[in-house]
Amino acid sequence: MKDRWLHDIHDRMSDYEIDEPAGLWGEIEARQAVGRKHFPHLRLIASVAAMIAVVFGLWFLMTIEKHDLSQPVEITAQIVVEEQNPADDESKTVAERMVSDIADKNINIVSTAVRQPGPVEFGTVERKSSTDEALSPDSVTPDAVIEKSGNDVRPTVVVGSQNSEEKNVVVPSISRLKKDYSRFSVALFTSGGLNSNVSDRSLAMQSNGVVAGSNDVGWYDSPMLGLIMSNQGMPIEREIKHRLPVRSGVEFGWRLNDRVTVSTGVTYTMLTSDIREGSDENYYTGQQKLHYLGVPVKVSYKALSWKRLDLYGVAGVLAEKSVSGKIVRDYVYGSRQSRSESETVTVKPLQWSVNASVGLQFNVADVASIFAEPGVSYYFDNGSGIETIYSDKPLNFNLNVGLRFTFGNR
Amino acid sequence: MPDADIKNGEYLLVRRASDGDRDAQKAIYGHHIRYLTAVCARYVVNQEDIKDVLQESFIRIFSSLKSFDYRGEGSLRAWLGRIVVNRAMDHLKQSGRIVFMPLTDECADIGDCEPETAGVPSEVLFRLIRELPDGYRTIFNLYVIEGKSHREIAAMLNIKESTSASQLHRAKAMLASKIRQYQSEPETIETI
Repeated sequence: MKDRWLHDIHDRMSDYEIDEPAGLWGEIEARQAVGRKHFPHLRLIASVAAMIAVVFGLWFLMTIEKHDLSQPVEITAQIVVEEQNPADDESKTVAERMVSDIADKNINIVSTAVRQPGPVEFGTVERKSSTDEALSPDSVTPDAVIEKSGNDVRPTVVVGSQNSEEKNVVVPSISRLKKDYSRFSVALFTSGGLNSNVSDRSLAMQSNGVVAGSNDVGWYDSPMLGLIMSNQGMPIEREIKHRLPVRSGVEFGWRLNDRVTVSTGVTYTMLTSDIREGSDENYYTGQQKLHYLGVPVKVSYKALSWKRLDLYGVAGVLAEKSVSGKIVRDYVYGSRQSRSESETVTVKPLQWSVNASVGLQFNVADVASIFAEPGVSYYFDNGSGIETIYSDKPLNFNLNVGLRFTFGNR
Repeated sequence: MPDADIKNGEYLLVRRASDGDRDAQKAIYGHHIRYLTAVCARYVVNQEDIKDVLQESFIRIFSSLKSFDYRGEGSLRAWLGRIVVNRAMDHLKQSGRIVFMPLTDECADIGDCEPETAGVPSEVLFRLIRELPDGYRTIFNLYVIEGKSHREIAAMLNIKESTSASQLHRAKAMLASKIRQYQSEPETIETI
């Protein structure tokens, strides 16, 4: 066969082995430790900075004074009708009738006055009628238009008549912008707390026998590897059961208008999972507990309000970070229980999730209400590889219940 | 994410190692380091350089283990080997060591017969390969042992396919001649 020597060389050199360089593992380990110092905090800092920027941005938006004329605003207006003969009773009546024809509910006419044409003031126009005809209500078609003049919050009402020259301009004075609701709220809530097991994952595997390596690896210092070794050739199973997350938090809400509120706050969540891994004879049982702190940002929309009940919808984003985590394992070899081992679990990346809920709020008192928010959350894969209910069951139902307090004048 | 297929214990090790488990990483290192050292040593001759390249390789291995898709026995070793070959190649390219000998008319031909390698111990084959000049050695390794095509080699080394082919021809000739020389002289086997 041509190239038989090459095939021979290929076959023999393909899995040829020689001794490892002395001290190599030590250097690799040292390099790994250094590498870890530089990177992990960068992502955390960037994420926290982004969250702060979002919160700041929202706060900034909320504190900008907005003139929203769609809000119910009480305008007190003074109708000034200019007449040649202001003292004329009939003129007064006409003026009053004009007023009543102005059907705009936003204008609360406080007083009327009739006066002689005078020099043009801001917003008033001389009436250029030279006729003696009294204004009859029939000939006047109120035509109330609210115009905003520049930045000054003094809408002018132009009441027109069929004769466009006879426009009486009314300058209402805004007594006050009355807010009949408060803007700021604080809510305390909790969810979960049920210890039912909701997620089972079983994984059956065959431990085929790991290729033996050099003896100085020191496997038997680690009971985990001892387990893998003693389970060689036997079917092994991995079971993990996740409990429902337990979450509590505080939320600060700012009402933008009648229906829309934005809120942010702080949440604490605890994830517990029960694990069993190994063969029938050699296995470990363990419990993994992870503690997360998170910052939610939500927008809620009030759909209905009836007596003391509010029905609303909420959608939001939550960013969580695992601040502490531990997994405790009890190893069993054959019939005897062996060591217990506790290991810290670190989840470095942020855990992002989106959520949507429907809320029902019962206003107990002016300032306090209780609410329930059933909803769904979806947890994005953060690439950490740690198994939690977030990674195994990303779409989650949850029920938040809590107390909400509202501040500001009513 | 694992599916329900039967997977062996090595898969568990890979998973734990990619999560940062130091013991699992050490185990993977232990299983494959002798093989990987041999792979590296076929390309890189200097002992210190071999150590450096292996160190670089393992840093890269542990940081990209998460994206490794485990496909059964042997897939891990193959993946590890590829990383080491690539790092070795980078090292050779950087140090300017890959020099392709110009072709001269007097270059020895393979001769009428190919050498008989059956009686040559593996250690000797390994040593003789390492004695080849860098350019020949690299191409010989890539073509004969890693199984790359001339096209792939040309792309890796930024040379022409024809250069790769002709360098391989010379490499084979030189190695064949070394093997014949070994076979004709009784000698003690040196340790590498």
